[in-house]
Order: sequence, then C-alpha cells, then structure tokens
Amino acid sequence: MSMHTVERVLFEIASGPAQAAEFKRDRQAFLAAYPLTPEEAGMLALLDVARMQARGVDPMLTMRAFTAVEGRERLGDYMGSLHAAAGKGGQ
Amino acid sequence: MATLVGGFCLPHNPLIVGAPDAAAPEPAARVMAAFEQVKQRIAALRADTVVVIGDDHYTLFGTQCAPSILIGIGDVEGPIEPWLNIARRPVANHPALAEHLMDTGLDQGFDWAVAKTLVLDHSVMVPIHLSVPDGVRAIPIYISSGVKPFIRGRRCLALGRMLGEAIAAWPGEERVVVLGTGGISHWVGMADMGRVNQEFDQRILGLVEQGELQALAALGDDDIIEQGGNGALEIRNWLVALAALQSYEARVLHYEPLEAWITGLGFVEMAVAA
Repeated sequence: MSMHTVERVLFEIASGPAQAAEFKRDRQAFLAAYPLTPEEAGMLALLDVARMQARGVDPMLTMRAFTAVEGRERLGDYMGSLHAAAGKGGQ
Repeated sequence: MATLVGGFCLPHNPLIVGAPDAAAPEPAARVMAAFEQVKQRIAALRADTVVVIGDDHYTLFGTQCAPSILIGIGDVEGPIEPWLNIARRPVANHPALAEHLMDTGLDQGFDWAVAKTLVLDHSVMVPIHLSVPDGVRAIPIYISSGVKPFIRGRRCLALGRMLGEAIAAWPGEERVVVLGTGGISHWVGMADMGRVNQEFDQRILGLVEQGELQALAALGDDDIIEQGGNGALEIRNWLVALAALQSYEARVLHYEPLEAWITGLGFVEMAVAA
C-alpha cells in the first residue's frame, strides 16, 4: 500500500525470533498476509535495505529487521549494501 | 516537598553493553568510568528517585502507534532487547510520583500516552543499569526523538519545565535526579553509521554548558540529522532534562568520540544550587 505498510512489516519481522524465523522460512507466504504492491513485496522479500531507505523507510527499522533475519554478525553485509547504493548515486 | 537535586546527560548506546569488545579497551574503560562517576554522583546527591528521559527506536512501538510523550506509571521491567547482556529484571518505579507527573501534565495540556506496564528498551535501561545505584527508583519517560513524527524542541522545553514544577509540587521528601539520555552524534542504520562528528558534539556540549536551552530547542530536525545523524535528535531527551532543572551549572564529565561504538559519547553533570 505504502511505505507505512512496509515499515509495519519490518517492525513485525523484527518483533521476535519466531516472526523473523517465519519470514525467513517462507518469505512469500509471510508477505502474502499484508496489503503490499508487487514492488513493496519485492523489496521486502529481498530485504533490499538500500532501496527501502531511498523510498523513505526508517533506517532503524531496516537495520532491526535485517539483523533479526540475518543475524547481527551480518551487519557488515547490511552496511555493504548501503555503501554500494551510495556509490551508485543512491539508486 | 520533593527536590530536584541534580541532573545528568549521558549516553544510552546499546553497543556499550551489547558489544563491549567492539571498542578498544582504553576508550571503553574511560566510558565505563564515566558511567560509574555518574553513579557515584547520584549516590552522593542522596537521590532516591530518578526520572529517565529516553526514546523508542521502533523497538517498543510500531507503525500503529507512535507516542509523542509517554510515561510509565506502573510495572516496569527491562530490557526488551535480548542481546544487551543485561538479564531482564523488574525495575523499581515510583508509581505515586509517576502518577503525579502524569496528572500534572494532563492538567496542563500535556496529553501523555500512559504505560501501566512497560518493558524498557536500551535508551532507558542502559543508563539505569550502568549509572543508577541500587535502591533508587526510576520513572521512565519516552519522547519521540527517535521515530517520526519528531517531538518539537520547544515542546521539550515546555515538557521539562512542567516536570520540574511537578516534582517541586510533590508533597513528599524525595530527592530526585533527572537523566537526559542518548546522543550525541550517531547515524543509526544509515550508510554513515560509525561516523562521529566531534565538531557538532562539542557545539552541543557548549550549548549545554552555557545554558543555551533556546538555541538547543531551535535546532531543526534536518540540521541535526545532517550534522549529527538521526541519533543526534536524542539531544532533545537532554533538553527535557535541562529544562526540568531550569537553573543549573553544567560541567562536562567526559567526552569520548568512539566510532567502534558508532557514537560521540557525552557525559554532563548539571548541578543545582543546594
């Protein structure tokens, strides 16, 4: 529907280990419960944090959801995707 | 009547406790010593209650409700984050005084969100864990300096003044300290995460030392975020504490620009006349 719903999904993914695990287990099924456009669902399915931030999604949420799903040890990958996007002019 | 005996501005960065080894030992030790110094000062002030000003980070509250100002008046525990290396535990509140702050605010047009139960995030729990002596009760207050829509600087001034007046009007003998938590410069979840802007941090510390509350309140959202990161908006938590004290003499206890903990970490004591 909008970035508000994208943020809602990210918050719910990050709300606990069970939710993050459910998302990771079957992202399409998890996202099917929300009124998302195909573009929004695509960004979420990929956890495309750079693209979500470029669309105005709160960076605290992108980081919380990413680390909830991928683990805090992969924070370097999270930062790498942001830096790569910045190097490409923020695309 | 209750007395506001002092205040402190101090960090609440979760990495300090959640990733202690991320920072080099010497600067980490200096930061921990500063937290301990605040703790010793609170004890020396014989405070029995602290009012802790923090902010949510999309941890407690999601898109369905974003409180501008919230007070915890009942049962409190924390932290909610499992990775802080702090065992989750009850936190002793002062429900009667908290309800008094709530009622005073409501009477004066501050439409509080009220938490009758509350699990604290790092913004309130880390300062409690590191700097509040055992036996001191803690009243948690959250303001929207972390998540949009951001509370306005001038509203922080008014909120702080109301809190200070409310504490003074409480018909008890409590000795109260107010803590403004967070900051200073840090970029959370953004491409610049890890950057520290020392010039900005020193500017903020200077304004606090000089008592320039109007100037602090006048700093705009975009200006703060550009120079200090989205995390630097937490200086509005500081502003609430400063405004509660109304008149103080400030001294910077310690400043540590610590990129490994992604933050310019500032500690200030605001002393009030005895």
